[in-house]
Amino acid sequence: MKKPICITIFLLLSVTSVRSQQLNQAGLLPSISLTKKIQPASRISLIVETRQVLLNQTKNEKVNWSYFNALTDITAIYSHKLGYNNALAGGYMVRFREGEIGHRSIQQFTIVQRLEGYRLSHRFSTDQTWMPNDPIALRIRYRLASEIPLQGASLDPKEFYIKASTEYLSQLQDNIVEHEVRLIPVLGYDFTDNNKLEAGLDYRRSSLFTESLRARYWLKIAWFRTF
Amino acid sequence: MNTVHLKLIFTAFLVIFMTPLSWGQEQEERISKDDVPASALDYLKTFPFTKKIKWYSETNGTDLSIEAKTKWNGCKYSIEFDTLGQLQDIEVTLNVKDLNLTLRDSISHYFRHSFASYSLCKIQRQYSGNPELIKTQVLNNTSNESTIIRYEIVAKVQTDKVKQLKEFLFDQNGVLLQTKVIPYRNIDNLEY
Repeated sequence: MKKPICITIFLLLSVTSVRSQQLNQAGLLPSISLTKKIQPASRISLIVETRQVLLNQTKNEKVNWSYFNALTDITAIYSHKLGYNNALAGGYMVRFREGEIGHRSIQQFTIVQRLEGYRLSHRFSTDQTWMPNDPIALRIRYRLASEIPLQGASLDPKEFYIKASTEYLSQLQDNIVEHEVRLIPVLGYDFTDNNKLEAGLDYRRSSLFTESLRARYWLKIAWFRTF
Repeated sequence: MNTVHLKLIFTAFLVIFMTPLSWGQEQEERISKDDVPASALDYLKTFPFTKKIKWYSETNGTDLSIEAKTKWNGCKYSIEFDTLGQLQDIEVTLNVKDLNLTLRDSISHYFRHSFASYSLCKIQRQYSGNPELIKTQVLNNTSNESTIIRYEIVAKVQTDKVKQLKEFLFDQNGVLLQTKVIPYRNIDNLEY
């Protein structure tokens, strides 16, 4: 159990080492992921995620309590297993934001390692986003996630687990490169192998290495259901 | 948050909690030392284990067993008891190079001729029989004819287009005794 603990500490340090904490936005980030197996190696997923802002701070202003739906994303992803522990996926997302509709194409490759007492997932992805009145945004992403069962050496139904992940994103938009780091520690519950619920913090630190650092804290609630 | 949102959240939770919770797979759960039968604790006291021993209860839906896991001399040990604390078997994790050459050849031959591709993930030597003889054999790495030795191997295998994770049980001559498919665990929450 030493390795997963080390990984979790590394994930925590990777974000806490980022300089000066400043709250810019906080709220809820509920999501539902519905997956249907269409062939032994292929699945299609529909993911709906919304951002409900509860605390908001614009530049040089105090933090204000205000509730509004910042955006809603609806994503369809087709995933094909290449091997026992890796999968290639491609998808399309439609984003509804303040009366505008944007689009994003997604490509990702995931490797999930089944290790003694925990699982480790590496996700490499790229995406391209088109929003009205904005130049195209190109991103590359890497996410490292560990899933640690809390009631045994492996995760079984009716058991809790911790999932800690960190993600690094770089974005190119209008010839400007920006970087973002995310830390997402969550507590999960495995109702059945095909039915999981997770809740925890989704912390995002964007515009790294610039003077306009942004920090966002979300209470993430994610439901994963496979049919 | 308006009533429509609240209704949606309430409905989502109803769907989650009404999902059937039955399954037929092995389930393992960490237990306290206090829940372990005294005879199992007494048996392990005679081993020179120095590292922490973790205890688990394991069920396959019908049978329940108690399992101790620890490390000693660079190897992982798994000692399984029944609910009365009687020893069922001891498993020691090995590397391929720890198998004798004849056994290694025999097992490699089986995998090469049965699958398009394969990768060995875990090898365990399994001892069952008289608890005292097993203890002597495990600690001194000696052989004893009255102890049954088997090899449990977990491997990723591919036949045509089917990729599976399977568990294989071989006897000490490398003859396959049984196989079992290890169910693929859903990892959607690690992909998205």
